[in-house]
Amino acid sequence: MHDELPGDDARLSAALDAMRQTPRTSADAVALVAARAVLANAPAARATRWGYRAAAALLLLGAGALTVNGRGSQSTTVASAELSERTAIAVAPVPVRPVLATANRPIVFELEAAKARSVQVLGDFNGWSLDADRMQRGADGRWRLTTLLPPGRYVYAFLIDGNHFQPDPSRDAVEDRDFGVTGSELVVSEAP
Amino acid sequence: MRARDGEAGAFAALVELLQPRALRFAAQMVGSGRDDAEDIVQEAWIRAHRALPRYDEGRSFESWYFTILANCCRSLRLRLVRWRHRTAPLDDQLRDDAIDALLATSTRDDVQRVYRALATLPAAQRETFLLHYVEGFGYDAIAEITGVGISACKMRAKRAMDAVRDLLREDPDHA
Repeated sequence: MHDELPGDDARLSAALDAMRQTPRTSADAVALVAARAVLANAPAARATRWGYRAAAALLLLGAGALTVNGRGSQSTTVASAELSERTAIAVAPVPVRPVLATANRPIVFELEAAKARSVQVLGDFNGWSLDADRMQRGADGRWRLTTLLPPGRYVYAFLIDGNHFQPDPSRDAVEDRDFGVTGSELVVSEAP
Repeated sequence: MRARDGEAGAFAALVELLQPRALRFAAQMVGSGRDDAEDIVQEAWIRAHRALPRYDEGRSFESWYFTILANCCRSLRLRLVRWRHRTAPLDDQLRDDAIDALLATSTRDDVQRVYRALATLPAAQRETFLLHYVEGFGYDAIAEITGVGISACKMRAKRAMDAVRDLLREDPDHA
């Protein structure tokens, strides 16, 4: 594709070769760029429904699946800090009709999604991690995950086939005042 | 195309694929530092995502995105009066220490000289030079990206290369 340069331009040719070397980019930085682009174009309801962290979490899945030469660069640090900041804001108290659970008692997340290939539960309790809390499909076609959670208030959602967020249809939706997120809320009380 | 069909992970994959080159191109086109380059590239991704439903699969996504990016660069450049007063060479923040470590000192210096030479070229020539000699686009793709004919692209590239060569020869540091 590149034109051959005359031999007496060997230094110019070497300089151009050097200019073509591609700097590495961190996975977090890529995910943030993609998340911003998606959210900037999302209809208002969608943008506020899931907010920044959910989109970033979703997009991290795509970036994380790639071979990325992360190097702990400055951009990675900035990206992580921004995500953490957004997450901290998102868990501010909101008007609730919470589902109550009790610490030290198993909590069962359940979703009917017979055609899904995979379902995960993402929430404040696992840092919206895309690597944790994969649900198992039962013989009845329902996906379940049983876990224990420490006391606290959590917002969570299901991620279906790695690309579709859905709140828990069996539980009351809550609106997050910071992002206007409609999600599902879970409050785990202290063990008696 | 999975990204066009709404698969966010696929869109992120495209960002991962093109982001370093996009930053490099934008930084050289506007010549005003990494922040501006990142803003332009981000704006181009936003526009690209918005325009995904209109993306023609028969066309290279790479050249399609660079078309949007080049337009963003032109728009910003028009707003950047300071571009005309730019004296700083390459924004070092865009460089990769690991890559630099592999280069001979003379080559690193030559890279800086090329960037200084490019900064003196008319924007259209610089754009064509970067797209062809650095980003590796063929003239047919550059014609799509820039919206001018293939012959004009070849002429711009030749004039740019001639000018870079001349400027390097005039550079007292370039033996």
